[in-house]
Amino acid sequence: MQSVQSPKDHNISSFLARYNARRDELPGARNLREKAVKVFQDIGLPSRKTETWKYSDLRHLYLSDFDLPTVRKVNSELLAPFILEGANVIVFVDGIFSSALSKNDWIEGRTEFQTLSNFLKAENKRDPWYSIADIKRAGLTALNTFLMHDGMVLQIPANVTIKNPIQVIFLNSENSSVETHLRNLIAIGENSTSTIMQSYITLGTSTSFCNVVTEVSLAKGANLRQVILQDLGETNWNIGQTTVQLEENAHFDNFVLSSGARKARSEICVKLNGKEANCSLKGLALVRGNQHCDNTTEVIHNTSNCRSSQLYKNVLDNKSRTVFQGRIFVAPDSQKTEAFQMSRNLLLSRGAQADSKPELIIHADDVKCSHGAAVGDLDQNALFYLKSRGIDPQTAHIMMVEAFVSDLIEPLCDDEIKTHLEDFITSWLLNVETEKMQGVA
Amino acid sequence: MLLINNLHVTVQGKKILNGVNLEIAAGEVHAVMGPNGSGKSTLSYVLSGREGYEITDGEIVFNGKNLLDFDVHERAGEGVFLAFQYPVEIPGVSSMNFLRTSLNSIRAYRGEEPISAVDFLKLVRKKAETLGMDDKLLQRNVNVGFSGGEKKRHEVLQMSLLNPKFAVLDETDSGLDIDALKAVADGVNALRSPNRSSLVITHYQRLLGYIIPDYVHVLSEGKIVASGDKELALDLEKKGYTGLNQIQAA
Repeated sequence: MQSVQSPKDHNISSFLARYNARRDELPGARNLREKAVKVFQDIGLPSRKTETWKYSDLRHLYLSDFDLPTVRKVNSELLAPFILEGANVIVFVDGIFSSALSKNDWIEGRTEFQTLSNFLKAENKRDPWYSIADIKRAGLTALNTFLMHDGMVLQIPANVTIKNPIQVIFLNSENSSVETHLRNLIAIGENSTSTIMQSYITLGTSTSFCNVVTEVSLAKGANLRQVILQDLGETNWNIGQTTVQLEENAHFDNFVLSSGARKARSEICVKLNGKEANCSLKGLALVRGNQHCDNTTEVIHNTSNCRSSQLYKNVLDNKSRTVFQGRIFVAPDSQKTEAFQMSRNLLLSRGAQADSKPELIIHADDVKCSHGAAVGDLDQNALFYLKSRGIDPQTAHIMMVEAFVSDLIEPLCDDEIKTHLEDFITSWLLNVETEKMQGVA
Repeated sequence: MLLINNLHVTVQGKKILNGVNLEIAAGEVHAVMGPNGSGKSTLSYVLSGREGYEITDGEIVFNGKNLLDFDVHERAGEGVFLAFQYPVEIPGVSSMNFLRTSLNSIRAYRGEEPISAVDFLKLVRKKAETLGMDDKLLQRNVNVGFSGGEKKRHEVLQMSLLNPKFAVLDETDSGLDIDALKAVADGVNALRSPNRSSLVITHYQRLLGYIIPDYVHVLSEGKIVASGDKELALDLEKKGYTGLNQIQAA
């Protein structure tokens, strides 16, 4: 194998040079960024020797060159098919907020939305959120922290229910090749409820690298439903890290549908810090070609009487690959914990590969915890049954895969989001080129 | 309607059918009986086009067309229906969606317009009622949580909806108590018509007391070794398949 002369080291120095050029931007996060640089110099970027990155190799990413974000105009008509009906829309183009494409007049009074760059323009804005994401986590969070340039800051005060979903679209414009380090902060006040959908999409083709860190804080009794649709073009890189902190009785519901990118990783860390807090994490990867999709989770039960459930499913075609790494940590004295985890994989092709790695670390004794993993292909008896009733092979396959993913889609509360994702899945399935799907005997 | 001529079939290199000949005219009900391993289920799968069965010789002609040229779903479109011995459970697919997709697929094959959601609902409710089936059952996923009797009624419901020209009932009596058996048989009998034929595959004479066949055939070691009217079934019940072999040998 051809050896490459330390692209990582080359990258590290160029990252630091970029930080130095922008050191004085975002004065509100000056201290944090300085700290992140030190951490980064210490731990660098993850490689396959990093335990949590064993199955996802970033070498090709380190070998690539990207541009810095610049303002690009996008015709709003091109965006229309991606927008949820009735949603409040915030749009970022190549990592930069676009006021022209956003529809956020609804926000006044009930929600405070700002761009990160505005939020951190002022001094002394240092906020407790910064402690939510762990900047020591495998280098990419630190990198994001000292290179962050924009993102959304969404604050919902106490006792507010936002009925329509808030949709945040992160768009890669046509032919873009940018590197973006987006930072999103979401804080939901006591007893407030909101649904946020984040859509990562590409217009035409692009070869960008998107490194997103999202920090979420849910106060007592707060309720957040977060849906992430990642459908970047298949020549993009997407690494998303979400850290969520829940107080008493808070509820966090997360669903990540990942279908785009050459290599995608969604990492979610949930800290259940208040009693009776609970979270439901779900994920679906629909991948083909040489795509690689990694879902890595960590649920930390820091106190008693909390519940967590995780359900991750992957549908793989061609030579694609998925990774699921799920960690459950139950701290000492976190009694009456309930923590469940399941990973299921459906291989449509013999060349596909799915890795599942559960990890349970339990320090309390009065807990209910379980995990499981399964890999299989479509049930041939069921396919035959459907076909024997006149249903053509392609439709039969689509019905079977839709059945496989139904327990992820069915529970979604918002009908617009549900329809949007159902249509997305169906159109993905209609494009599956596997012989099996076309019913070639 | 259906002509099976010198049909030879192997499964994974093993010969299962060794020259089956069978002719079924429109409106007739034929029964095929035979011991375990005689090839009864293979015959039903070959008729419906299941993969994994290699036809090494012979032909199946259905309404003048070579049935073997058609894929599974096309055979259903042509009017072949298989009532499964073990109806398959499909978690995640609702029965209603399944039945409607199925009916509309068959209608499309016949060049008919799809049925509207409202008309479909009315039709299914009516059919379910005739079969003594609770239509709440159809809100569930396909066959999931159905009892043995409910699964078989569901098969007959599908048959009634899809209105096939030729139905194969593969051990429809297995796993049924007398009441369920009677209900299923009534459903099948209600579908008897001069333009519809059936092939009833069964181990026991029991079912043939409810669905009276015009002809009975005995399948043994991949061949039809005896044919007759319904009396043959009663004869078999008395003497057993071994008894029949002795008759053959003599």
